[in-house]
Amino acid sequence: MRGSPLLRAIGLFVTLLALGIPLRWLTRQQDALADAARTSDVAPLPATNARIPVTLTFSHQASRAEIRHAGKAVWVMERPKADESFELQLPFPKEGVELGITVEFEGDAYNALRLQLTGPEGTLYDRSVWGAHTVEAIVPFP
Amino acid sequence: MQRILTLILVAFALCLGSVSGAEPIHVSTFSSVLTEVAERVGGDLVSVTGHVAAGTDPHEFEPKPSDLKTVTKAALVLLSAKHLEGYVGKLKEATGGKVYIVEVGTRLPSLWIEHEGAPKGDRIEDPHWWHSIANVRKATSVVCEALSETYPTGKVSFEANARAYDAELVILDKWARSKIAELTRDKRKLVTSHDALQYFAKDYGFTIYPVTGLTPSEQPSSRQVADLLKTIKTQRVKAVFAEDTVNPKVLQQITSETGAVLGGQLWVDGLGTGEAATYGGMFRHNVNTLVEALK
Repeated sequence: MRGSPLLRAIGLFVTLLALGIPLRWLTRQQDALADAARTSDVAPLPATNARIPVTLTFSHQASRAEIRHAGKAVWVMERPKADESFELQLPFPKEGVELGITVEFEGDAYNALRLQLTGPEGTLYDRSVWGAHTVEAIVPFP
Repeated sequence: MQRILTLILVAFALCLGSVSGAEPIHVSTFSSVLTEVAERVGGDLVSVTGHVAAGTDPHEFEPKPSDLKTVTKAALVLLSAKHLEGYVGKLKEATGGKVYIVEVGTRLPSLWIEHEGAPKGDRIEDPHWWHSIANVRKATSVVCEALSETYPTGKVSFEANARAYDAELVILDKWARSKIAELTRDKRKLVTSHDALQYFAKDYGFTIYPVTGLTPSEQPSSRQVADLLKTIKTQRVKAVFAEDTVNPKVLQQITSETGAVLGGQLWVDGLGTGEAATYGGMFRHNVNTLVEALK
């Protein structure tokens, strides 16, 4: 490359400056896209009730079992059978649900309750709670 | 003769009392939560000076000369750590390395928060660890260990007290989970004045939209406020919450522009007053306030 070092430096500077313009234009576009993505991140409307199939399996005779959702009892059974299957009508948002479980087992031995729940999208969730006599737990799905 | 004998007996009893009734060990704390932990674990064997009073903003607290004087006489100093006490160097200098200083927070897991205005990827350690009950349980065992090292004779008593306090914390966590279950998961979104509830959010499945960063003194930029207004609308956030140490003016502006309601005041920078004067009381107040407003 011919020319004085000063001219070459000026040439290099102008070239870099020229490259900066498309670079800035491209990054500004990316910012705009990110902003657009953020604004479209709208929370869905509150979930409507869905029919949720539930199966409970008790390891021992329980004198009482209760399931709560959002602080309210949605299923209560005195002396339930070893296996109970039923449907709950619950809102099941994409964040999932938490169910409050209370089981009073007969006797003081350590016992378990297995809960199988099928979400509205068809996923089977399988959870267990353990304890002696009265078992109280908040069980998350998923 | 009988009178002299009585006097001798009284004098002997007084001498015996001064020998067997040991002086309580002095503990200085710089966090209202740690004051409670030290008092509960230490019991009668410990005298605790809490330098940061309940309801005081610990981010802004600076020890006075009288605080430094008290610290030099303490056997143990408990700090919240995680960069909350910018004056830790001053304390170490004042005590000249002669006082056992325990930075409790350094022994607990940390959350790292992206900081508005900082270069992308730069994260700050969240100092508000006490909003996780699991962390307070760990802090209880750290304080028990520190007291036992300082005063080995009291170890059995400290361990028994720590177990009793820990059992209360387990019940508190169980109660909080049950109360929060009254809120469906899609409603666990809240706006707070500053970003102090991330440990709580992680434990109980909340999403936090803070007005400012990790310290209440930060002022939100107009861009931050505009973004937040948009988020509150799009995420359908039902309520925003004021804090004990923050001016609620910005929140009032937010509520008037979004339709979200002012859900009440939370105690976020330590213990409060009235029903929030104890850790359990503060936690129950916050959970009840959040659940009732977001339902």
